[in-house]
Amino acid sequence: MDNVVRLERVSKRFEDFEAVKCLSLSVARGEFLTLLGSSGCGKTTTLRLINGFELADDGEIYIDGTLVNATPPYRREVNTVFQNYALFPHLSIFDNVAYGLSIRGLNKAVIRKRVFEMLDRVGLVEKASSRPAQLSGGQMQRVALARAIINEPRVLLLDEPLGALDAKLRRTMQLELKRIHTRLGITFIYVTHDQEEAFVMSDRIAVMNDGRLVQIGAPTDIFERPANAFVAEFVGTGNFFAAIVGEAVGEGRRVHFGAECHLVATGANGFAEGASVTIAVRPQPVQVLTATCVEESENVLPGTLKEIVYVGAVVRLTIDLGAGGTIQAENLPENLPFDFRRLRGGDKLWVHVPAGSILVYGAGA
Amino acid sequence: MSSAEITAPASPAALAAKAQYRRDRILRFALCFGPSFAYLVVFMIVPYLLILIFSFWQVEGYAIIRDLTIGNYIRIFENPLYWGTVLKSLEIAFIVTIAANVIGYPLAFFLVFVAGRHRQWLYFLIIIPLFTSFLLRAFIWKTILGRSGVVNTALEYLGFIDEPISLFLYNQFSVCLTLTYIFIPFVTLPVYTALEKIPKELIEASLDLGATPWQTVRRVLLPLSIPGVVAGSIVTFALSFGDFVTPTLLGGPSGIMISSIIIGQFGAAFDWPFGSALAIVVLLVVLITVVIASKFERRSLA
Amino acid sequence: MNSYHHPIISPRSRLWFRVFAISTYVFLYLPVVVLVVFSFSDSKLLVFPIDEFSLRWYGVLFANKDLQRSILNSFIVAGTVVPVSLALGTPLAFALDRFQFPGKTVFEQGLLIPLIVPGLITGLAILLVLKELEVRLSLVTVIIGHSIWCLPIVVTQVYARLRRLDQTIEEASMDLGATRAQTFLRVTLPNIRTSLVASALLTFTLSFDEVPVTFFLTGTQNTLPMHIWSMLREGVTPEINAIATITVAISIIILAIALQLLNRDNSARPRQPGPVTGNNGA
Repeated sequence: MDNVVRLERVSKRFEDFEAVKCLSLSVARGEFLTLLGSSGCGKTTTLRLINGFELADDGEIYIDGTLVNATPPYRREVNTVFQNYALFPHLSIFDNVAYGLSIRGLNKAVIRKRVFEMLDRVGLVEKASSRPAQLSGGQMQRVALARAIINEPRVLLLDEPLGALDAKLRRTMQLELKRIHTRLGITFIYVTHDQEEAFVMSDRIAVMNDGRLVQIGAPTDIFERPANAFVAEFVGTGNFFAAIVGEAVGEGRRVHFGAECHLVATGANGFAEGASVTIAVRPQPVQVLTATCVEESENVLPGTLKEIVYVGAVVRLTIDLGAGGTIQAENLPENLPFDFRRLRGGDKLWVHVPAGSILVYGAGA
Repeated sequence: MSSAEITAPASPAALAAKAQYRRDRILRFALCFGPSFAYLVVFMIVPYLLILIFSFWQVEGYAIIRDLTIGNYIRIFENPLYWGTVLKSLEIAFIVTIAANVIGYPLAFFLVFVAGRHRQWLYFLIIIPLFTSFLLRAFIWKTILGRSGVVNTALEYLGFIDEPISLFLYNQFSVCLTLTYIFIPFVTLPVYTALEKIPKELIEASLDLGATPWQTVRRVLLPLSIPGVVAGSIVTFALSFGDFVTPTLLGGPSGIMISSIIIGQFGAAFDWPFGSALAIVVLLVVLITVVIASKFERRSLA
Repeated sequence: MNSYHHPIISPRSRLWFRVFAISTYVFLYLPVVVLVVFSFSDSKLLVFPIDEFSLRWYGVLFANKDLQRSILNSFIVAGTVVPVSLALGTPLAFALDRFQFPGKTVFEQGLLIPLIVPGLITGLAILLVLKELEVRLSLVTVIIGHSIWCLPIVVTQVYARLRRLDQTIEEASMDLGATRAQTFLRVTLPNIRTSLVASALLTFTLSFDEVPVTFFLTGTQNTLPMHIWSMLREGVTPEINAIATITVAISIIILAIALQLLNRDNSARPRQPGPVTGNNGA
């Protein structure tokens, strides 16, 4: 893999808080990589280690093969789109976008041409002589982007740039950013806590927690094969149960949870009998069945309907499994073999949990 | 895994980069701070120290004897002319501070709560005197209070008196009046700032909870405006105490203040060490006042 | 500016407040008005009523060569004190904002001493040093004295502004390739511009009027206040009214400009109008 950025066992601590712990990460040239995690996980610190505003306590940082630990931010060929845009309030939009070029001492005519080209690309030509204070949030964001991209950096860093926008605008901008990335071919390193955003835009996602890299891979990998319970929960897997591994049955092993519930999971094969594990299932594969369509099987559990929520495209059902706890199912209405509108709380229902959809993690994962 | 992280030596590249950064940072600090600090050392720190040192020396004829002694200080506290004047100056400064507050505080109150849409230009009117010459403002009162000044000639013209009264000028009264006149804005401004910062909601809440307006003033506004009062009073007290312009122009023999005496020592009397000792006394009085005032402010805010 | 009438003031109290305020403003300004009026009086004495009006004293003023020279000197002094104070004070404020060093709090407090201590003492102190070094008194020594007194004002103002500055724009500048020096010149300074200008105007005005420090450090060249001082010692001469009138007028103009600038700087933020004068300390 041709790495444009490489972090080797990088650590960073603030006072007595370790923000980044022994992190190793490689970013392929031209890819769209997202650092995903909740606040305090170290993703922004990692970004700032790359653009040079934080100094690593340990480890090495390479940009295009060159060691850059000692290189100040103004000499790294990296540009950043900041969370609050950080546009220069005393300069016009034109001067803001031209800043990097003017620092480099380019010819005025050349600057003019390139700035207007860039402004045209982001659709803000008519705002060229306005000040940042006169622009809307979405417009400022585009200026920040233009200002960074115009310098043709090796890597573009984006620190939660869409956080301040409303939902609809955010979705539009996500697609826009993706388009720009594809067209320009620059490597993007994106930071966000929004899992959905990460999935929409990224080629690869690096999930971070507590200063460490927990899992890195394509969105589908993360989603379908979360490396541990943390990642599973982060990407929306619900339905966590503490369980004990039982004997082998068919292609998998039985897992016991609650007082008397058990399922067969192919994912439990790597564990010894008696091991304590955590099992997780996403709501989508859990199929809800009524008496008329249920078949006796290992992975069908009886329960009563606790709650049903109709969210338009899907139906969310919470089934009480008695001593086993509750399980959430999210099904498309047309896939339900019964009319969900006839259901009432307390109705007897069955849930079918496919053996292959159960994620099994060692205790403490 | 964590123990391996602790015992393994840190990457040399990282350590070198950190060391380099630290060196650069110190250099940058020296560049910013150094020259200005050097200037301050030469022209502020050393001078004040020198006054301190001089105060412990003595003069004989026209020569300064550079042996340390506290003779000057003893003289100050033995001779009623000197410590008496210090006390008188304290008294004047005190009176002026009180008077300036008595007028200045309600004025600030007026600006914040009553002035309404006239607030801005009325505020401007308060600031203007601060920037007109101190000297001229003192001079104004000399003109007005003098024997052939406005007050007297007006009274004469109106027939209240037959002869000009010299009562008005060249005494403690004229000094206090002039200084109060000068320092009213010095008190009004910080009090205004403090009162203005008080959130409306606080006042509304107090009234809402049943307090009368007067109680609200006493329990909410007054305590919160104390920092402003303290700031203005410190400045007023310190500058009044050490002023020599006003007593020289308007004080006459009975309105003499310590500052005039100090100047005398550096002039004809040529007793620089003694003058320095007096200056140190003034300095100490001012510093002590500031310390007391800030302690008071801190305690009242707690 | 809202015209919110606080319910705390009853209409009757409101009336008393107005009366009080009006009387105070009269007290503050009547002398000034009297002075201005009398500057146009033809008579040599400040007697009431005024018989004749004329510009006689302004004429005397403009003919007075010594006076003109002292005005020039005051301009030279104030005009030099401003750049000196800014050049020394701005990096100092920057250092205080961005760096930690041992003794920082003591230094911050100590810096304010010249503001609180009677100018007389500061002037004396510097005089002692100059005598020891056997330096002759001149306008240069006056400039030095003023700069010590004005430095805390500049530092306080600029420091306050720096603290409010959003430092991410400085990061953005460095991210785009500007060194720290370039960032300081192209991004930081323009954004603290109003505090610099306000400090400059403040310093200029205060230096122009300064008396106590100047008193001890003046050589053969007089500044305007020194000249007026000696005129006053001799007795009250009516030209002084004319000087006072002009000075007041100029002060008003400069002040209006300074306030406008600061208001523009603060228009985005809800803040009280007007500068925090250096005399109020930090």
